[in-house]
Amino acid sequence: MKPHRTLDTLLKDWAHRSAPDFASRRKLEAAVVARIKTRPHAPPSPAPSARSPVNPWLQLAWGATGLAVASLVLLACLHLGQAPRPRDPDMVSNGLEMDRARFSGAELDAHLLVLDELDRLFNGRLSWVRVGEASLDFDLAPRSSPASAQRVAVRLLVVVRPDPEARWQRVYSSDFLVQADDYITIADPISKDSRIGLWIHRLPDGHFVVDTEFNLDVRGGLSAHSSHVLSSGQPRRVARAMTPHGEVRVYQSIEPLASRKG
Amino acid sequence: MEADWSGSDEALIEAYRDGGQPDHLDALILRYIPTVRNMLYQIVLNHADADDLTQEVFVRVANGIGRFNGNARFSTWLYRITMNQAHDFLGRRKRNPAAPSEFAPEPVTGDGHDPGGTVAAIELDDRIQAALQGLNPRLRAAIVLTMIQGISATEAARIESCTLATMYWRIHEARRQLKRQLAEYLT
Repeated sequence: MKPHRTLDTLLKDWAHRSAPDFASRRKLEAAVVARIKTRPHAPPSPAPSARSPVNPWLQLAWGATGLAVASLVLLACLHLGQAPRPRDPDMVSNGLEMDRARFSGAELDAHLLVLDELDRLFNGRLSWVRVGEASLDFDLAPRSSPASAQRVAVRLLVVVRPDPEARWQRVYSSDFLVQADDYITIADPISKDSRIGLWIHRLPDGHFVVDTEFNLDVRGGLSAHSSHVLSSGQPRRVARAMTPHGEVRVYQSIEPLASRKG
Repeated sequence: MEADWSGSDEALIEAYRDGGQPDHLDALILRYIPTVRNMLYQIVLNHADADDLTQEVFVRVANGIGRFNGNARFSTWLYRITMNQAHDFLGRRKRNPAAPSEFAPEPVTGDGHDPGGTVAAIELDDRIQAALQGLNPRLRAAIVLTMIQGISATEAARIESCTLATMYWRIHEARRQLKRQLAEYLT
């Protein structure tokens, strides 16, 4: 017999059943109090005051969403030739790294072109496109998305410099062409350990909430979660950290893409 | 075991800071152990891990209480530490899939008076746990904080350090996924 309930009731009942019994709770209380009383009295390590959205090296678990990534190097000659990558692929000049995160008009035109072509090819079932440094990947949704869905381009740029006097070096850059309000998880085909999670929501005032989780297999592994409000055409630094490899900064920018062509 | 203190959280913190009496700290901690432990279990879905993490959380609280500045409520500060611990743990477990606690199914802790009912409860709990495990940890945290723990979306957004819009979306998306997974049990 499976009595039907609301989701709230179902979860609360489960939480009640899974709570420890009285004896287990007492045992845990004793263990906690003992741990506290026997903890080292050396200068205490700081307790985290907050999980700052710009604190990047937070170890992050990724949901196993099981997206089957159709990884194709498609339209490469067409798109990658037109989609401008940073002109100086290895080095990013001091002070100019923010500009590298900004989309140019030509890049947006190229993105829109490939998006429309792929969307047409797959009858509107395109879920997302990732334009990497030398590859293009995409995935399909089970069904067509509404023509009114807001499409956006998001750039993720990671730069590092070993010391404050050194030049910034680009270690990762990808553009993601996605639909607002779709939560997507993208496995980077270049490295099976790299994952990007993205969710974008357009606010009534035209700004975008961009929620990003990434776990990149570069420089010993970079993991971060950020949640920021971004404005079109205005790149923003969303994460910064000191690592054994130097200072790492993560920049992001967003641009809305025009609606589908008929 | 229960320390007899009925003052507010802030009063206990103030008293502990002023007098350095461990009883005040014990009272504060004992007050929150059940909630923190339940919250951790609902995120990591393993009883032994939840117990270990509960200890870690309160050691951090004890070490950091001197720097609690009162800008947020104590519970918000505590739950942030709790969720940080949970997310960090899940990150470690994800990178180390050989860990024995990897999403190990948990037995239902029923009292066994009704064998038929217990079997049904086990089946239902397995389904609920599987559905929760299938959620991205951020979505799971949103559901645990708001639907199970009854924390407001605004407060949950502060705890998870995200915008309110993001929290609303996470709740919406998590509910959508859970409803799909648990459709046969729902009205």
